[in-house]
This record gives sequence, C-alpha cells and structure tokens, in this order.
Amino acid sequence: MAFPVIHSTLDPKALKAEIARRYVLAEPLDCRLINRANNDFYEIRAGRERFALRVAKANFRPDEAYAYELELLTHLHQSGCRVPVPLRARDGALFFTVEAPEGVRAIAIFGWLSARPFTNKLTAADAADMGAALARIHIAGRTFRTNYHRAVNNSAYVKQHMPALSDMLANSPEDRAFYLKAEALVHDAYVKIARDDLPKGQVHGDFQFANVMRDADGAIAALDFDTCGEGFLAEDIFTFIWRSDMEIRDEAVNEAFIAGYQRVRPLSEAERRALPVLRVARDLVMCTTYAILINRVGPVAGFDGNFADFTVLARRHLAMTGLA
Amino acid sequence: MTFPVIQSVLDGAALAAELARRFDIAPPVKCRLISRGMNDIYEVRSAHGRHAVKVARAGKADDAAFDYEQAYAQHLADAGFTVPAPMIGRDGKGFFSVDAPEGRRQIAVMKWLDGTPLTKAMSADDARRLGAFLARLHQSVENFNPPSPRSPETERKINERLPALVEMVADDPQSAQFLRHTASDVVARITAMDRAAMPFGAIHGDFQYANVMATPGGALATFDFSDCGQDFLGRDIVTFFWRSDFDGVGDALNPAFVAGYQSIRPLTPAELAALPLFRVARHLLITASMAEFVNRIGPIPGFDGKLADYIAMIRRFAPASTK
Repeated sequence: MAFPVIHSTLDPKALKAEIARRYVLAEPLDCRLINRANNDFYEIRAGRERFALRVAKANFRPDEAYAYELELLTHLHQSGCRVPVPLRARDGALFFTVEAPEGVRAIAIFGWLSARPFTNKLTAADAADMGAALARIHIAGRTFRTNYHRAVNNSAYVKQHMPALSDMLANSPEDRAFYLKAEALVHDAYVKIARDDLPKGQVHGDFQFANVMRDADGAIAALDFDTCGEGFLAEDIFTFIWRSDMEIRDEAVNEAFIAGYQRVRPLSEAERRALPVLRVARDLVMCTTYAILINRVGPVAGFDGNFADFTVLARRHLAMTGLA
Repeated sequence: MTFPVIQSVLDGAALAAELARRFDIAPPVKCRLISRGMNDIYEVRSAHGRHAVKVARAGKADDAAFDYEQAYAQHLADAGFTVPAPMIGRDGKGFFSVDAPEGRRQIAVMKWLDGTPLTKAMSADDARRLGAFLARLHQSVENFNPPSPRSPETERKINERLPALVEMVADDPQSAQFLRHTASDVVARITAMDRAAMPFGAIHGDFQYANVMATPGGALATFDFSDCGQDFLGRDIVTFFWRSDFDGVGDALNPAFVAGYQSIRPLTPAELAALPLFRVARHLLITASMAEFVNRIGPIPGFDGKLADYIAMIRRFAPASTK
C-alpha cells in the first residue's frame, strides 16, 4: 500500500497532454515546473504565446472558491486592473480538476504577466504605488457580481486553524498559551469590529510584495488571488504589511503604502480605529497557516524564517492593540 | 484514475507514527519538513531530543546503495567526524523503505547537527581549511569496508540526462552540438582511465560548501552523502570547484582549497592532470541533471541559475579539442 502523502508534483508530460486536450493552444507546446510551493506553477509555452498554469493544493478549497476567484480575475481585468487573465478551456470552463494521490487538485491557466516582481528592496515610493493599486482593485471589486460565495474572515480562519498551531507548539507551552490567549482577544475584538460596520468588498487576500509586479510601462500588476474573497477591505492592507514587517522592517514603507491606498480610497474612521487589531489578526493568520502548511511545502520564500520571528511580531502587535 | 505524479511529500503525521513504531524515540514525536528538494528532510522532535530524517528521492538509489550511504556515514562518525550518523531502528537496521506514489523511497533517522552551513562568503583561509578537512575525510576511509558496491556513476548519468539538456537548447543547434560533442569526449576519456592510476576509494560525492557546516564549537561537520560511492578521490575536489564556480568565487577559493587538501594528502601528478577533466564532467553532470529534474523539483538553491550561465561554465572548462 502506498504511504500517505500530503502533496505531489504532477508529471509535466501528462499535464501537457491533458491541457492540449482541453484547451486551444498552439504548437509546439512545452510545460515546465517553475515554482513548487503550496500551489505548483508551470510555465506553458504554446507557439509564441506564454501562459502560467497553476495546480492548486489538494483538499484546501471547494470548487466554488476557484470559480469565484477566476470570475473575479476576469472582472478585474475587464475593469482595467492588471491581473493574470484566466484562459477558458474548449468547454468554456475556467478550471478543471484532477485526482492526485493526496486529493482533488484544481488546475487553471492564466495569461503570462511579464512584469518585474517587487522584492524586499522596494522603496517607500513603490509602496505608495502598490497601496494605490490595491485601493483600485477594491474599488473595481464593487461592481463584481457572481453566483458563487467566498468569504474571508481572519478571525474565523485563525479560530479554525488554531488547533494545528497549538499542536505544533506542543513542546513550547509558553508560546502556545500566548497564541490561545491572542486568538481569544482578537476574536472578541472582531465581534466589536463587525458591529462598527467596517466596509466589506472583494479582497485580494495576499497582497504581499512578492505578489505584486511593476510592468514595463510603470503600471502595477497583481497576481496570486488564491486567498481572495469577500471580506473587510482594510484586512488586505495587512497582507502587505505582514511581509513588510518580516523582511523590510521599515515603518516608513508601511506608512507610504497606507498613504498611497488612501489617495485612491480614504479609510473610514472605523477602519482606522480597527487597524491595530487587523494587524495582529494577520500575524495570527500567518502563524496558523505556517502550522497547517509547513509540512506540505517546507520552507519557501516568505515562509522560510525561524518561527520565533513570527511570534515576535504577533507579541509586539498584540501589545500595540492594548487588548492584552 | 489518479493523475501521474513524479514526486510526493509524505504525510508528516503518518511519518511521525511510523518513526515512533520503528525507532526508540519517545512520544510526542513531531515531524517538521525543513527542506524539500531532491530528497526531503524533516526535523523530528521527541522526548529524546532532535533528529533529522531523510526521505530519499524515489529512483535515486536501491536499498543496497542506500545501505552503502548509511554505512559510509557511520564509518565517518566512528572515525571521529561530525556527521549525521544513522540511528539504528528496533529491527537493527539504519533505514527502512516505503512505497510512495512515484516509487520506493528510503527513510533514515539521523543525528541532528547544530551549526551554520557555509556559504560563498568565505575567505581563502576558510577554503584551505575545507580542503584539509576533505583530505582527512579521504584518509579516514582507507579502511572502510562497504556492505555493498556503489559508484556515483557520473558518466552513466551524464549520458542518461544529456538528452533532456539538449532538448532544452533545441532552439540553439550550435550549443546542442557543443554539448553532445563535449559530453561524448569527456565521458570517453574518463571511462578509459585506469582505476589503478589514481587513488580510488569512498568519496563524499557532493562536497560543495553548502553541505559543510561550522559547528558551535568551531569544528567542521559535513552531511548529504546522497552521491557517495567508490570513485577517484580527486572527483570530490571538483564538487567543491563546481559550487564555487557557480557562485562566481572559484578563482578566489579553488586554489586555496587545493592547497589545503594537499597539506594533508598531496595529489599525485596523475590526479592533478585529471582534475580539469573531472571538473568539466561535474559541470556537465549538474547542468544535465538540472534539465532532467527541473520538472520534478522546480528551481531550488544551486539549481536556480540561468541555463546560459551553466553552459558558459561548461564552455570555459571544456577540453580545447571540443570548443
């Protein structure tokens, strides 16, 4: 009997044959693995065209979540935002699924973005441009209509996955106690935030610098909408700030990002009040995500630090909320 | 029907349960994947402390070849080197195998090494020290009695993987021809070498500095014996060359590395004469392996450069007759 596995790499030759059958793609067709992480990415060359193919991780989201994401991307593209455009298959579908040894995996093909990804060397001016781009995505999302449902709520996510973090920290009782307490405090704070009627809409879900690019004409492009959905818009700000806190560690960059965002979409008073709680909520999202995914992907960019660094941020930001 | 796969990651919880069943490690046993590359490496924590677990890539070695690798590590440990010595299971063996979806994979529990892996940011003195360390490693295996034969089979692998590389440069017929010609020439010349002409024995197989660490006490430790086997000892020297060439520090570090090596074990004239050929063979092997395996593991450190740079290095070190 085969040993249980939690992730696999699909055979590119079989994948190439499968997409040739399902999509209208020019020849010669080539399929090459370019990134193996939570989701696996392949570069597809079809004649003179280039595409990115994503094989999503198994057992993580229902089909409805992928349908939602791909429709949102199509909408954002039609609204003028620079994002990867999903390619429709011969049958009109935006994705298909295969049975991998670890479970069902959704596969989608996107137009290739040839822009340059940002790194932790980005400047405050870059951050301001990125903040403005995120705000434009939020505004474009206002007119998005879909029959699918996909909600994002950091507090609920953390509550769901806290048992995995607690289990991971079985040998670190002090840290485990801190996270359990932090989760409870953030949960209570979110109950109050919900009462404040914080603006909701289409969020990117992971607007960290590695998922943002600068195109040759200077425009900002965003990719990886894997964790998108309908949620508090202001939560998205901290998807940028979390990675910035981990790798850039310059508050001026964070401030520039928020200022750039507000140039396009000013934050409400309630949103500004909620920022400290949203920041620690993002920290907890990343800590619990680390716990549930580290054994699937191992250390990858943005997830390759010592877990102690995650805890330092969460402790600091919880203290800043005044909740503890 | 299950879609074909070429690599998998074992379930950490199932792995922890299997380890607890097979080895004398006290619960709670927690596995954390710390490196996913050709092989997968886990950090395992239990009431008995920390260990490293290696899950070998399917198809890399059969059980007999893996047994050689474990015996080599144990021999080095017995000789006083700081290496990830295998832990012996309840069945008296140093590893076990499981059937993964892509094939059979060996699993070994090893001593955890504390330390900092070396990088290209080292001085010539550091490189000299590393060379001396490798020479001592070679001296220590003179009395190594392997449980089974094993060869790194560099030339066979070059021949086997070259088609993937040639396919990758299909739009550049000149490079494709150069690679075919150089590989054919180098493989033929090395295959024709007389085993008795140079010191021959158990080699590390991948003595690049990323596989050496400085321990907290200042000593050197080495790990990753996935490419070990019986070969010309001089081949280990060029594994160091390859990584430093790749990182652009070869001219600064390689002479010091060789000087350090020779301070312990002087190279014979035949070995010195063979080094350039071994060097280009190493570059050919790594480049062809990158072409062969990039679709299995994707770009990883040491396998993430531009193909043009790899080929430029082969051109630089290729025999004049093939350029």
